[in-house]
Amino acid sequence: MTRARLVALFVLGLLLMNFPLLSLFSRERLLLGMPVLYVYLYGVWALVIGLLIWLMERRRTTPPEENP
Amino acid sequence: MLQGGFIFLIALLYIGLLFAIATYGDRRAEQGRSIISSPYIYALSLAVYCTAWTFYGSVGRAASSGVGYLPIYLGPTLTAVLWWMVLRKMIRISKVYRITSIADFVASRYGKSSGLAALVTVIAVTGGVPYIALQLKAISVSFQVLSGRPTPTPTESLLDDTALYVTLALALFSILFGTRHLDATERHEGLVAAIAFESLVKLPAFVAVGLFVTFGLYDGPADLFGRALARPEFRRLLTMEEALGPGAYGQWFWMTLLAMLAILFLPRQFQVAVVENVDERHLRKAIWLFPLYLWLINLFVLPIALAGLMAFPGGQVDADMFVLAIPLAHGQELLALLAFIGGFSAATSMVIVATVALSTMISNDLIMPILLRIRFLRLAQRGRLTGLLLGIRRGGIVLVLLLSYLYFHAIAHAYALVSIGLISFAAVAQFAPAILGGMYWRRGTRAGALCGLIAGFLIWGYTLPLPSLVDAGLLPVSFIENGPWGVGWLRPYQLFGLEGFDPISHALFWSLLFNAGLYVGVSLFTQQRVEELLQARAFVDVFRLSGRPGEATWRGTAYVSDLQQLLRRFLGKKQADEALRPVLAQGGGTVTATAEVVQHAERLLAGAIGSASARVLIASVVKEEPLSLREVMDILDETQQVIAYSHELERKSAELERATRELQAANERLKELDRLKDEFISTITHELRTPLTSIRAFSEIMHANPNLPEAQRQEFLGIIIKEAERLTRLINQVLTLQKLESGTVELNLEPVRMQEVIEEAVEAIQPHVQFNEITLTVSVPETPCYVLGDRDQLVQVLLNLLSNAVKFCNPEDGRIAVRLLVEPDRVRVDVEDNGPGIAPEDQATIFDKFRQVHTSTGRRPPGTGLGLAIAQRIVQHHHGRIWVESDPGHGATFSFTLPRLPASDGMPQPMRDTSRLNL
Repeated sequence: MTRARLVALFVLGLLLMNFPLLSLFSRERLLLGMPVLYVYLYGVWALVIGLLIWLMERRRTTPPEENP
Repeated sequence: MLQGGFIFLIALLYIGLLFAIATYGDRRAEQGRSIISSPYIYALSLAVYCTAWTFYGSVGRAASSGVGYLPIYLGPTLTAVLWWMVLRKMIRISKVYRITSIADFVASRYGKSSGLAALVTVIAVTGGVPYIALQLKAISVSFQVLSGRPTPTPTESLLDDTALYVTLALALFSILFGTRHLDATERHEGLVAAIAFESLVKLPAFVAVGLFVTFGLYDGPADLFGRALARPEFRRLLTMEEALGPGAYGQWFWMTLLAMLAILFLPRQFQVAVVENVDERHLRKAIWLFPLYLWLINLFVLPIALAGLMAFPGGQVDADMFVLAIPLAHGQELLALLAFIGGFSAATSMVIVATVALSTMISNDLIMPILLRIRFLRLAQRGRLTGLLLGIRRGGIVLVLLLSYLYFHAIAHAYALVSIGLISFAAVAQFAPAILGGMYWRRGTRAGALCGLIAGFLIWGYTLPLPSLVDAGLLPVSFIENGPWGVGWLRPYQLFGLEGFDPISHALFWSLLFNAGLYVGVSLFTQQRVEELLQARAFVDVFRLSGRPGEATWRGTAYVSDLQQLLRRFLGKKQADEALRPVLAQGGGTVTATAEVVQHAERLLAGAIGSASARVLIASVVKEEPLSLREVMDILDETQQVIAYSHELERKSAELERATRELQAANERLKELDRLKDEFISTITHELRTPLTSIRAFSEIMHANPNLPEAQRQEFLGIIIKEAERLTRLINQVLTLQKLESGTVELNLEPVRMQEVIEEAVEAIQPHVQFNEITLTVSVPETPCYVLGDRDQLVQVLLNLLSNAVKFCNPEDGRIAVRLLVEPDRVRVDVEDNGPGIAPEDQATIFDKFRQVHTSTGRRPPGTGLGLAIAQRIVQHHHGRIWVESDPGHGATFSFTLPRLPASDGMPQPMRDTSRLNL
């Protein structure tokens, strides 16, 4: 189950960090005083890290699944 | 400005500190109390990925390309998401087969091939040297900036060059902590401890500069960005298209892919992530800690770049050096020194790990196989060889550092840090098809891997490092512009006429296309040899096979003493005997070695000198009888069967478990039914006893008092008759229910007009309605509608619902409404009363046998409690549905539906009261 979620997260990250979704934020505009592209990329990046923390640190007691 | 001598002293003191940490780490490891056995240390050691490139080069790239520096860190983050599947498998394979370098990994997978090992080593060294040169350049330039020589130039005299001394110090460090002894696991705990410490230094150093710039020089990020973007010349850094130029998104994608592969296949990353891994479980934390580290260290890159562009307009200062130049320009010498130490950390840790990783490859996968093949050296028969091996390793370290230093002086000064780094990344990306394919695809063959790697490496060399010779002045410019000999489609930046790509994306595309294409294509058309077949399976199925005893895929004669001698020569006596002890104990001291012992010995040797060399050496002391492909297939089939069998067992036990659960559920249901049966019998006997008791009581009174007054006698007899009737009714109902439930009831099916059913039932209930002064309203459509059913039974249903309604009606102002609704495919009958209603929790069980909902007064309502149960069974027998809706306090509506017989028109009819009975 964790494996499927990780693969889904990978695909999500790849989509969010590439064309065409990325181009939506490639604008000469500021958000909270910062370039919107910069805020978006660091935000998506943080989101992926947050989801990784959630996936890897939850239910610490269950042994990791053995078979790939 | 700081004094050059002072900075040099600081740098040497810092290296001294690293020596101390590494010594401590090694000592603790020898005592068996490892200090690196922590997921945090592991994650920090992975951050060796952040080199001088990150520390200085990212800022430089941001100054010219906006967010263009980011794919190099987003890629590894994406790869980290998949680490649990990919890196864990690499670690497991390497642990089980004692693999100590990326060249060994590839060679081992494709049948312990020394040719492949050498090729991978050559690619890794060719790709790695420029990267190490980049670090040396960063150290040298940062030193010059800090000591006040603003425009760095290649130093004239080598003896003046601080980078030379630093290089020598790093060589010494790598030799001391990278080649202390030969180990069958080849781990360097002290070295890893030092690397982790360096990661702890560079992050705060960079963040400190970032904070100083953002909050010290400006009032936070909004102020900084606001001021920078007020200048039109910086606005182009805001968008991808402007900052990266045409093809921005393509470039972005290829960079991300490049970095995704680099984090797995850079030799130094393989060293820290796979070889130096102490515990697979550390990966769980590293998977998010490492991306978090990347995120943090990159947070201030763009602010520093913009601040630098504003502070030094017109390119006065190389953007790569903004991290140092900005604090210096504002008199923050201590901060600048901290930043220098941070950059120095980033550079030195990379140099140390990369050098050790490359020298292991050079000795195990390049030099040793050659030496072993030169017969007249008779190396395998010589005495102690540990010294020779360590000597080769140390030579390798010196060689790599020397090459890097020369590259730095000859070429690297002409390039920005990032461009050199990307060339190295593209080189190691060539390992991707052979390694990833080898881990997941059994069919991949040695020939395929060899062809793919050679093609990828040649295209890489032609499209990236070769044109760089033009910039260094070693080739004419026409080589890039018109192609060699004026052949246009051979232009290295537009190979085969492919236009619109930047050089890195262009090189990556062509090299990976040919590499992966040949790997797959050639693999599909070549046969695997026995050894390849075994290794392919060992890699792909490592999780299923590891932990199982090695299978006897080897046959021949070997003497334990020979193997022992061999191991002693390469590992040293103490280590060899210790490593062999458990196996020897199992073997019971037999003279001839079992296949397991031979395999174990080979793995031990592989840890020290690589799998390809180990294979050659073992072959030299055993009389091996080659197994035929047929025999190997048989063995494989057998183990495959064992695996299949255990899978089958697993599946069976899972099925058994499920069956047990089902049985348990069935048992629970049976118990529940048994309980219901008891309840039923107890209720029914109670129901029977009440009228019987009363009949008997009155009969006894009359029996004992023959002289009762006639009036009283009549009254008593009336009661007796009524009770007897009630008894009969009850018994009839129980019988009906019994018949309905057992399915023995014979339904006399015929088309029944629902209007008639309602009329008949209403007529039958009329006396009760009248007696209780209830208003009964009936509304049915005019057009007759038919259902297929048993007329008497349906009347019974309605009668039961009606008498139920009568019973529960409001005693003062009772009202009952009966409605017939005709829908396209069914008819619906509602019986509504204005009684107390039914609590939601009772609505589901109201149709159960003897379920009598107690009224609010606690009085038990009259009746047997079987009416609704019977009605439900009858409706169900007619394929209908019955239910109740009630809002407690506002009456209840019992409804049932029945499938409708196709009528003449089939449309719902408008309603009209046919009878309005105000009785």
